[in-house]
Amino acid sequence: MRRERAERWFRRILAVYPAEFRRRYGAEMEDAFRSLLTQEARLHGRVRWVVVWMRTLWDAGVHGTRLRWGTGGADRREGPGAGAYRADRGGRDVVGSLIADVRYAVRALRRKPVFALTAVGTLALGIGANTSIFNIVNGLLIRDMPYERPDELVHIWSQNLERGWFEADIPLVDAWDFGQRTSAFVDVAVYDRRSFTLTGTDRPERMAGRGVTPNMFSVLGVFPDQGRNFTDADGQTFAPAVAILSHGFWQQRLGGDPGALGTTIHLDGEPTTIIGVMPAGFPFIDSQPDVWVPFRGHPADARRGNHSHVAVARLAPGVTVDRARRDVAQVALALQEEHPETNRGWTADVISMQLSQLGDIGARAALVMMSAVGFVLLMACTNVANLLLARANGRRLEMAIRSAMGAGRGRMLRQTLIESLVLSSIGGVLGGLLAIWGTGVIVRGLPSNLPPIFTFEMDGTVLAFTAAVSVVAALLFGLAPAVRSSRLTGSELRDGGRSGPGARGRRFGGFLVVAQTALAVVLLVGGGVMVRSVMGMARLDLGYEAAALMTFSVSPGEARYEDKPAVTAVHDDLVERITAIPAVEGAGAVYVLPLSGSNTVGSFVLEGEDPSDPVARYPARFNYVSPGYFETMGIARIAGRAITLADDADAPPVVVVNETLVSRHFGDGNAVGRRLVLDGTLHEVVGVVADHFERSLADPIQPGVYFPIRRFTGRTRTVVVRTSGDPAALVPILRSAVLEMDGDLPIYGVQPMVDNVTRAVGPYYLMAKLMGGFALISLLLGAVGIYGVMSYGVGQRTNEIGVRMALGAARRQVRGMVVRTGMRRAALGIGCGLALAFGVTRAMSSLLVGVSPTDPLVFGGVTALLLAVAFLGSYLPALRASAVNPVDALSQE
Amino acid sequence: MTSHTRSLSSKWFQILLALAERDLYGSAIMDEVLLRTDGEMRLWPGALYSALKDMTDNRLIVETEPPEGAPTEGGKRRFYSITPAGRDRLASEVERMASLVRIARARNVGPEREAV
Repeated sequence: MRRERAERWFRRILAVYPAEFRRRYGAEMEDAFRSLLTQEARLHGRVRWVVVWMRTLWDAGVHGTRLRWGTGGADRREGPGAGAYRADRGGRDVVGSLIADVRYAVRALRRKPVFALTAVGTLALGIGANTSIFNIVNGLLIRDMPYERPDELVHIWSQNLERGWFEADIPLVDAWDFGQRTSAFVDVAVYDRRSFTLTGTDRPERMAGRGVTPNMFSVLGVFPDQGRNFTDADGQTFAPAVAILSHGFWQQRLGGDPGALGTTIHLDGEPTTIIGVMPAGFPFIDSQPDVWVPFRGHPADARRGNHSHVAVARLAPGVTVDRARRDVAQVALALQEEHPETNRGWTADVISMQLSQLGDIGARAALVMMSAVGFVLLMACTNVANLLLARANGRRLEMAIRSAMGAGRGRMLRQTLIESLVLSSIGGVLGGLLAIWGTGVIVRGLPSNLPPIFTFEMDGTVLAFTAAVSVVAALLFGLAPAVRSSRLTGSELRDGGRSGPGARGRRFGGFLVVAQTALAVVLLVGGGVMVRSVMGMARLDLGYEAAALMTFSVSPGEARYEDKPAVTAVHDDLVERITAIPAVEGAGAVYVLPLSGSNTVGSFVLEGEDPSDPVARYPARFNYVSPGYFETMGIARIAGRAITLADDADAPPVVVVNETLVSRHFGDGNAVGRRLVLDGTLHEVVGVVADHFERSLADPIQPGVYFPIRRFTGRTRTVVVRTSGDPAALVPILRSAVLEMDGDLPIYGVQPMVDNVTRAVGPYYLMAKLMGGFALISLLLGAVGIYGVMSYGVGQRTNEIGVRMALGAARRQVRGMVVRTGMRRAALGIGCGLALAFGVTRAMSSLLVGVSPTDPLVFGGVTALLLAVAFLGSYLPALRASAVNPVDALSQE
Repeated sequence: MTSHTRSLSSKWFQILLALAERDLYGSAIMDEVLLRTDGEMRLWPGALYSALKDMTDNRLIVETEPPEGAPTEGGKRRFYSITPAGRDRLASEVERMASLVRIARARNVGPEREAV
């Protein structure tokens, strides 16, 4: 009984063997298995089933796989090269013969170390550059955010098409409505950006914080690893104040004390209970705050029209971003009808969180860089193809002999391709190592305000990419030479392989020169416009003098400065104290510091226009400035007067505007004395200041409206200080001036204005450096490639040149012939390259500041440069050609 | 000749040895080898039949008609016979082993009871 069952199992195990083998021997093997069981009983008095099955499985595993895939096995030693025998007859020992091919390839490469090193080095450069950039692209665009099912997470942004505002902050109550009135989302959470003053410790400190709806962490799917999450009860209007801390803050300020849970800290003077600590390394969506506090009060009661929140939502199962977008747009339309006074013109958009955080420019920059390194790799492959071709021609005799001895075309093709694969694998490994260094360099240059959800470790995706690139590269550079050499037949042997590759080989070399020149043009033009753009930025007139400016922020808390007059008074006092410091030439305060990355926008109408007509509203950047701000920044006054201390909440409302607003709305250039309707109130324009860059260097300057800061209702201001000396030396003096005034008032965001400028141009500098680097590599590869092909071509044509000279051609004519050939090809390549470059720079146009995508200087310069390189690359071989002695050349025959 | 200077695997050697005396079928070879090696070498079905296949492919053995009156299990059992090439290969292997034994003896290694 037991034996029958065993035989049934054995029949199943036979499936491991190839079908043909089973058909032929299956029945007999069952027979043998039966005798084996008999033997077993005879030898041991019983059947040792465990031993039998283990041995049987081992036996089937070893011999089954060997018969199927021709590897391993006990009889490897057998027969006259058993592997080769099987490979040629049945093609079974694929692995064995592959190993042999790889060994052969390695031996062949070791015989030509200079060739191998050049090829491997070129490939490592190309693959390394590609892996580095891909590592960044992977971190930005491909790798999942560290949240639960990140694909389902989206942002809901406000947008106002009439005013051209996209991805604007959303009112809390609108976000609540979108969650309640559509079925597109599982849940909608909302946060706003806050900062708190932590008091009650040794010194007052600013904490970066986020106010969140209590469901924020459940929407993200990440929870505090100590203590508890927020609950709905924490969001009740009169709930006691609670907070969840970041792991970093808990470690640094509270010494990682588990006893901190349940204790009280003072945030802006309010006693707040610590209820939880987020896990180490948890990145919040847009930054790395120290503390989260829940919104208190029902979202439905929040003020409409207050666009100051960010909405995060999790899509319901099966709902696409498009469907959510349609649903949200419908609700937004309904809200416009229900609340015309606040919602007129406002609609909403749903965007995947990852794309939204990266921004359009970031994604575009990543893709442009990826294409640029793609071109670098293509050039590297062209160069290696060129090398291989030259080498293949040197091996014509070897190949012909192998072909004559019966090696099939497929076999020879495979052997040559395996040599390419060996080269590119070594190049790939070295390139991967290079990329570890390269990624580090690039990451250090990335904008420091990049959201923390983006990380750049090498992961499986990057390694798979490197492997794939290596294989594709091997095919790219290896296929043409492989096909060409496999075409050789025994007939090559007739003339001892002297006849050379002929016209077809030279045509292929010519094609490589054309391709390489074209690629070099694209990279040089791309790099050129990028570098020009950054050079332009460095010379760009910002509209102010950043060099001697120091900036810092203060935010008087509610505990000590209850109402607006108290806040205004402390700010006035502060500016006055700082102005009195001897080293200080001037000081002023502003709500939003230029190039700090934030931005306030609003709209106005001209006096006499209907403010309720949305089409008549004009968009503008709004800011609040103190007396002395423009003077301190060095922003020129064009007309009228400055803001003074008298322009406070009780005085008639006045504003200062910039030149762009004047030229756009007051055709006669006279703005002073005219009036604008802002928030339903008439404001008189009392002054005009020069245009200056505010949000970023890439955004064109917008109409600007500057209100007196004494009418400002917020608490936080940035103080700008101009010094006659080193701005950094001023910092301790500034700190003590503030402490002297109020020992509990922290200052934060202390930095020279130059840092803001550097940060604004940093990403462009990085792009320009990378593109410039790629352009230089391409120039080098192009020069080597052109020289290599021309020089090789001349070598091949020595006989022909000898004949020509014997027939009376002058050396000059021979030189001319060689140079003409090279220049014709280069010209063709430059033509193709310029056409391609037009398309590429057009795609880059959003990354360019102050330079046209078709900048004639760059296009002209690159053309001239490559013509010069092509001329040199052809002239040197031409010199060699004209030095040929006809007698020697002909006697080689 | 070059191929004959390489040693034969012990499995192939034992199978050739078993077939040198008479034609046999698979499980009979298995029994014969087990008996001859005092239970030291057991050929498991996969090892046995893949060896038989490779040796047939290498023309060291051939399939043959069953001898008169042999148990064929209704024609299921295939009999194998050693080829002249197989015999050559076996002989050279024996010669190789013998020369190894001679070398060993000359160095006073191994059993001393008989001289070759």
